[in-house]
Amino acid sequence: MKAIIATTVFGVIMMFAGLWVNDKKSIAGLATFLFAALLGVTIWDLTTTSVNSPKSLFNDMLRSEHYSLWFNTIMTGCSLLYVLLMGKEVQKVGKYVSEYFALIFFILCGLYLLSMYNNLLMMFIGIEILSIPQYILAGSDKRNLKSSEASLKYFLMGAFSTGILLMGITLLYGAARTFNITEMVTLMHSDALNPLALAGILFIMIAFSFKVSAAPMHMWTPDVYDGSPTVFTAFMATVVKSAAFFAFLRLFQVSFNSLSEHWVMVLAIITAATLLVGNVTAVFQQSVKRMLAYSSIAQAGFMLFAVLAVNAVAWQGIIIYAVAYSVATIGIFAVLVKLKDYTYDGFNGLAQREPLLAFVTTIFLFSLAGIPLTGGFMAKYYVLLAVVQQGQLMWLVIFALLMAAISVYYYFRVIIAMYFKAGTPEISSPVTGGDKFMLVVTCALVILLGVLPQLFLTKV
Amino acid sequence: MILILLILIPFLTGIISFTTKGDGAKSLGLLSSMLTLAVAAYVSGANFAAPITFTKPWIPILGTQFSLMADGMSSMLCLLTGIVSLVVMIMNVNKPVERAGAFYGFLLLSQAGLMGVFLASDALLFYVFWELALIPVYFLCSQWGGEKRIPVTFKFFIYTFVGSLMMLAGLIYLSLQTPGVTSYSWNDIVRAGTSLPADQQMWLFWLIFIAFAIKMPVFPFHTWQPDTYEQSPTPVTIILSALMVKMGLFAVLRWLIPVLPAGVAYWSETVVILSVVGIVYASCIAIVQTDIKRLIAYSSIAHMGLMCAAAFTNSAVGMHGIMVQMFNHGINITGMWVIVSMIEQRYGTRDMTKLGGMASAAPAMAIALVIISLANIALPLTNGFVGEFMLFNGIFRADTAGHILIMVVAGLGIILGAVYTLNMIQRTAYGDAGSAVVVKDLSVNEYLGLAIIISLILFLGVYPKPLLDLTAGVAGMMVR
Amino acid sequence: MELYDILFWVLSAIAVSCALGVILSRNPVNSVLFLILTFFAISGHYVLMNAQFLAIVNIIVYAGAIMVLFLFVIMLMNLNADVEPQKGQLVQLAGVISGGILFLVVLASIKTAKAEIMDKTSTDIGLISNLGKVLFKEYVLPFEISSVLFLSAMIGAIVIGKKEEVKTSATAKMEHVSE
Repeated sequence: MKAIIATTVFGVIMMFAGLWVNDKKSIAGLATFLFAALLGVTIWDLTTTSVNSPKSLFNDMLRSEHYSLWFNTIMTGCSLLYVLLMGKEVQKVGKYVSEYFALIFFILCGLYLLSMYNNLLMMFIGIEILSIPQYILAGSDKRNLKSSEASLKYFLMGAFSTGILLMGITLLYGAARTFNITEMVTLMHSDALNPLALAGILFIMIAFSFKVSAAPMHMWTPDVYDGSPTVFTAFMATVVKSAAFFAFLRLFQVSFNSLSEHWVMVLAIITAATLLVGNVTAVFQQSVKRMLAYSSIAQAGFMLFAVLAVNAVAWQGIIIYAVAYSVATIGIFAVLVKLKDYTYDGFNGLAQREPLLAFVTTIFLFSLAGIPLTGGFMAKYYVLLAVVQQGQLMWLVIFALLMAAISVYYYFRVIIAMYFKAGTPEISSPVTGGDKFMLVVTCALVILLGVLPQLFLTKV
Repeated sequence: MILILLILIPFLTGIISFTTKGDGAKSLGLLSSMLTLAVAAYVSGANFAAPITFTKPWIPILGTQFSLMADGMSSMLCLLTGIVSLVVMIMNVNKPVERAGAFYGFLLLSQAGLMGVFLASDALLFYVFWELALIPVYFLCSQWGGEKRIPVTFKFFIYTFVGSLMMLAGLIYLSLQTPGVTSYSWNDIVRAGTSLPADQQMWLFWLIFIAFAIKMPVFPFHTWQPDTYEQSPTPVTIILSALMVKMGLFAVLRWLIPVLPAGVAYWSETVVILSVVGIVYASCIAIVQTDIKRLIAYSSIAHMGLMCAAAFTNSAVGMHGIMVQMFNHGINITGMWVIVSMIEQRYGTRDMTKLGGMASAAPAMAIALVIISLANIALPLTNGFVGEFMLFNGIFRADTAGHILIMVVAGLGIILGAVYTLNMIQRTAYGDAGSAVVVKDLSVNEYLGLAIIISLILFLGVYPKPLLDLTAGVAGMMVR
Repeated sequence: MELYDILFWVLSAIAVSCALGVILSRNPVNSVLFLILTFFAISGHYVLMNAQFLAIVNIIVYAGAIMVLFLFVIMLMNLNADVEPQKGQLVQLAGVISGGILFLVVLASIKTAKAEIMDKTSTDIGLISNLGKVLFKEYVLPFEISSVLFLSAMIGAIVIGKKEEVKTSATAKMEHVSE
C-alpha cells in the first residue's frame, strides 16, 4: 500500500517538476532518484509485511501477499534499471520529459494494483491504469507518423479488449455474485457449475490474451512495439507485460484453479499458437526491433506456461521469468537505442567497434534463447518444471522446446552479425563510461539470475 | 577438491586468455593444458579405493547440487581430454592465429565444459556443462573456420540445441519422479528412472537419447557432422571428433543405460541396427571421398557407430571395450587430424587427387601417417586393435536375436575402413608428387605432438593393461 | 402482464433495435444518434431497477457529453458521407462465422444458466445516498485510485494534444551534437 501511495505522489511530483525545472537532465536525475526511493518503499513494504499472513486492505480490495510484494519489489528494481540505462534516451523523445516519467510512475501504480488485487474491480482499474499511460507513451514521438499509428492502434485494440474484459467480469458476477476473487472460489465450487461462469472465464481469458499479446490476439504487438519510440517499447515489452501476466496468473490461479479442467485446453491451444506464431514470424523479420516484438510474443508463450500449470511452482516461474526476460530485454533495447540502423545489417561488425556492447548483447541474447547459466535458462526451466509437474501437457512441453530451438535461429542472427560479419555500425549517441558500467551491471544480473536463482525467488 | 581443479584451471585461464595480447595466449594455453593434464593424470593414476567426489550446495530449491564424481570412466575421459588438449596446443605453437587471445580462450573454455560433462554427477549440472561445452565451439567454428563456416556451424548448433532441450525435458520429468523431494543427483535419477513403468521409459528413452544420438552422431542424425568437421579449424575439429562425440557416448553409458533399463532393452535392437547401418553407410561414402578431411569425418561416423552398437548389446566385454575404444579412438583421430592439417598447410590442398609423394619428400611425416592410419583400422599391436576386438567380442555375445549377422555386417564396415584408409595412404604418401610439392618435414613441436600420439598408440597396443584396469570396475556396473 | 413487464419489454426492444441500428446504418451520424437512443433505453432500464442516479448519470455523461462530442468530431471532420471501406468477401464471411459462433456459445451458456429473474421488489441500493455510502465505505479504494487513471488521461491530453513548438536553437544544437 505504501508503494501505491508513493508512486502516485512521485508521479505528481514529476508533473510539477515539469513546471518548475526546465533542464531535461535534472528532470531525468530527479526521476532516477525517485525511482530509487520507490524501490526503497517497496522493500519497506516487503519487510514490514509478515510472510505467512497476508494483509487484507480496504474491505479486501487488495491483499498484500508476500509474493505480490516481492514481485512489486523486483519489478520496481527493473524499472530503476530501465531508468538508469535509458534515462538519457527518454530525454530525446520529445518535449514533455517530466510527463513521460510521471506516466511511468502511474504505470507502476497499475502494476502494484495488479499484483495485489483481490477484487475484480481493482483488477479492472489496475489494467486501465497500466494501459492508458502506455497509449500516450506509444504516441509520444509526434513527429513520427508510425508512432501516432502505434498509439491509435494500441488504444483502439486496448479499448476493445477492455470491453471484452468487462463483459467477462459481468458474466462472472452474474454467476458468482461477488467481485471478490477469493470468495468466488467457494461460490463457484459449492453448487453445480454455472455456464455463465464459463463464458465469463472465456471472455476474461481472451481479454488477458490481448494484454499479454498471445496469439491470435497478438496482431497489435508488432506494429505498436515497432512504431513506439524505442525507449518506451523497452518498458512496454518488459515490465508492463510482466504485470499483465502476473494479474492473469493471479486470477486464474486463485479463482479458477478448481475449474482448470474446463479452460486448460483452450489456454494450451492459445499457448501453442502463440509459440508458433511468435517464433516462426520472428524468423522472417529484417529489423531487430520488430524481431524483438515477435520474440516478446514468443516469450509470452512461455510465460503462459505458468498460467497453465496451476500449481505453486507457477508463481516462482512467473516471477523469475518476468525478471529474467525483463532484464535481458531492457539490456538489448539499451544497446539498440545506441544504434542508428535497426536492421540486422546495422549490427554488422559491432564486435570490432564496440566489443563490450557486443559482448553484453550476446549475453542478453543467450538469456532470451535460454542458454544455461543465464537468467533465461532458469526462467524457462521453472515454467517447464511447473507444466511437467502438472503432468497433462507433455506434448506442449515438447512443442515449446522445438520452438525454443527456432528462437535460437533469430537470436543468433544478431550474434552472427555482430561477430562474424564485417561492417561499420553507425552509433547514434556516444557510448559513455556510465552506459558501459550500467550495461555490465545488467549483464552481471542476467548471469547472477542464471547461477543463483534462489536470490530472486520467494516463499509462495 | 582436486576435481574442481580440472574444471577451474581451464576455465580461469580461458577467461584470462581473452585479455592477453599477442603470443601470451599461446603460452598460457600451453601452460594451462599441461597443468590440467597433470591433475587428470593424478586423478586417473592414483589408485583411489572409491570414486572421488566433490559436492557443494548449488540451488537447493531445485534439488540440484554442484557435485562431481570421478570413477574409472570419468577419469579416463578427463585424461583423454587433457592429452588431446595438450597435443592441440603443442601442434598450434608454430601456427599464427588471428586474435589469439579469444581463440585460446574459447579453446580452454570448451575444455572446461568437457571436463564438467565428464565429471558431473548431478543431472542439471551435467546439462549446464553439456551446453557450455558447445558454445565456445560454436564461436570457434564461426570465427576461424572455412568459407561456409557460418551456415554450417549454425546448423550444427541448432541441431545439438534441439537435442539438448529434449534431454532437459526428460531430465525434468525424471527429477520429479525422484522419491521424496525433487533431486537431480545421479543416484536419485537412477532410482527414479528404474522404478518407472516400462511404457514411460520407452518414450523417455527417445527424449533423452536424441541429444546423445545427435552428438555421437548415430546414423540418421549425423548430417551436421561432415560439413562441420570440414569447415572447422583443425584444433576445433580435433576437439569435436576426439572429445565432443565421446560426450554422447559417455552420456549414454552414464545417463541412459543405468537410468532407463527397460527403455534401453526395448529400443536397443533399433539403435544397434541404426548404428550398423551407419557404419556401412559412412564407410561406403568415405570410399568415394577425395577430400581427406571429409574422408576422416565419415570414418569417424563409422567408428562411433561400432561403439554405439556395442553400447546397446548389454555385455560386459562390450562395455569394457567401449571405454577402451573411446580413449583409443580419441588418440587416433587426433593423430589423423594433426596429419591432415600438416598436409593442408604444406600442400595448400586436401584433395587426394592432387597429393602424392609425401614418403620421399617428408619421410617422417609419412611414417607417422602410416602408423596412425593403421591404428585407425585396428591393426594388431596398435591400440585400436584391443578396443575393436573387445567391441566385436561384446556384440558377438549379445543376447539379441541377430547378433551374429550384426557382427558380420559391422565387420564389413571395418573391412571397408581398411579399403579407404589404405587408399588414402597410397594416394598421399606414395605415387607421383602432385602439383604442389614444396614440402618441409616435421618441425620440433610437430615431432613432439606426434611422438605423444604414436607412443600412446604403440604402448597401449602392446600393453593395454593400465587402461583396462582403470575402466574395469565401471564396465561391470553397466550391464543390466 | 403488469406495467413493469410491458415497460421492460418495450425498452429492451428499443435498446436492441437501436443497437442494431448503430452497426447497420452506413452514415456515421445516424449511428451516433442510434447509440444515443440506446443509452436512453438503457437508462430506462436503470429507472426500472430503481437506480435513478445511474440513469441520470448515464444520460448526462454518455448521451449528453460523450456522444455529443462524438457528433462534433464527426461533423468537424466531415465524415458524414455514406462511405465505408469495403471489406473483402472472405473477411466478411470469417467475421460472420466467428461472430456467430461466439453468439451461439454465449447464448447457450445463458440459456442453460440458472439465471434468476431479478428481484422486482425495490432495492434501495441505486438511490443516491446509499450509493454514496457504498462508494465511500466499501469501494473507497477503487474510487480514490481512479484519480490516478484520470490524472494520466489528462497528462495524455496535454502530451498528445498540445502543439509541439518549433525546435529551438538549443535543442537543434543538441541533436546536431548527438548526430
